[in-house]
Amino acid sequence: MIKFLDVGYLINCRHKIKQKDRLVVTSCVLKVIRRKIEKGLHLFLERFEIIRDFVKKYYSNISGERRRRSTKEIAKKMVQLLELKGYADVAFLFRVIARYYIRDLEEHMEETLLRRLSSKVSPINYIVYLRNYFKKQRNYLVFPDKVVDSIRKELQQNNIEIAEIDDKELWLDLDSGTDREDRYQLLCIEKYMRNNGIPQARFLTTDHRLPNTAQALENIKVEVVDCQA
Amino acid sequence: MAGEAAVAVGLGAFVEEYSTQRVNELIQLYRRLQELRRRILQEVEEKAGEDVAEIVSNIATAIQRYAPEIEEALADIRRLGADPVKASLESAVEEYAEILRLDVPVGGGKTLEDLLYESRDEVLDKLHEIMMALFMEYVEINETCDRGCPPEAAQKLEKLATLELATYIIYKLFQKQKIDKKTAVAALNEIVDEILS
Repeated sequence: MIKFLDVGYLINCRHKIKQKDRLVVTSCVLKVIRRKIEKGLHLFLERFEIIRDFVKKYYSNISGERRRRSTKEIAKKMVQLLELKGYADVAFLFRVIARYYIRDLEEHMEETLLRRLSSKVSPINYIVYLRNYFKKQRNYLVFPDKVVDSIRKELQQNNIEIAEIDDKELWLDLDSGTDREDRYQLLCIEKYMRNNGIPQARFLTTDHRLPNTAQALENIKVEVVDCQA
Repeated sequence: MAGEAAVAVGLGAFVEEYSTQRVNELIQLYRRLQELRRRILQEVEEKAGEDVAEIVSNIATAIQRYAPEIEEALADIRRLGADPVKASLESAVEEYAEILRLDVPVGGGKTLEDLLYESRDEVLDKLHEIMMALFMEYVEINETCDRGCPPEAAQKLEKLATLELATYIIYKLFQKQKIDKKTAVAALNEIVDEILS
């Protein structure tokens, strides 16, 4: 059975592949991730002072040594903090950083923060480092592409197919709405299935609202997976 | 040559404020450079306004005026077989690393880390951003200049050295209440943007 993966699945789940499964990610999913990273990054830099205050407040009651964690652990904690404070877009950025090995960022961090300072990092150093990294020579302009390239690489290493979809008319045809990105991902899958004569497919998602959005598409069965549990 | 002079007196100028042990202090010859740096900073600080561009220009003029004395100190270092730019760079990286580990006591039984989490001091926050930015840049240039600095790296280093001196001056002006907090934060913000540009 062919199984398509959505944005939430890619960001939250480690892919467990059964041999009989054929896992596919459409280029539309990667495009959605790119857009969300762009948005999260913009907000992170714009609201940096506020976000730094969240971090200060949260960690001010924890003593020095216990504050220090690996960068991935801090990124995960940032996701929780930011979601609690209603910064879902910035939380998405940290979720991706926590989940994937983003080339260049990871290498740069290893060279500066981890090797020169310590493998366990103080969260305030981590977010100031990230802010500077994104601002350095306007890195924020190319970072979303670096994210997508790194995800593509990991998908290839895990034998997950990437289906390139010509989506020009798909996104434009959609009216706005909170589920616009979900409908877009579904239309991309539908187009791929139509072009390749695939009668039935499954769509793995972490979003509990997605089965509703997909109701009209009978040949796509949505499977909600809870990877964070 | 003016670039080398700027690097020799500029690198580590600000971090020295916080550093508990200056690596260079082991070398007597570097004390001469430190002394020259102090004189340059004092001179620029005395006539400084709040405009970063003006401060940077005053620093460049002062360094030029002191160039013969700086060059003399650099020549002595070279005679001992050391490369003054490389030594300054390595020393600055080590000093920034020491400070950015955040466990340096800064008074009242507190570490820099305690202050960063507990205080809502915008000036301290900006200084932390600048220290991290300079550290990131110095580490990168240190790698690039491992076997001789290409011209663009040397040029960047000169610019960073001047910005580090400018940071010191803004901080001193703020400490002495010659500029208010808002002005200091704006000037430091401009400096950090310039470092990362």
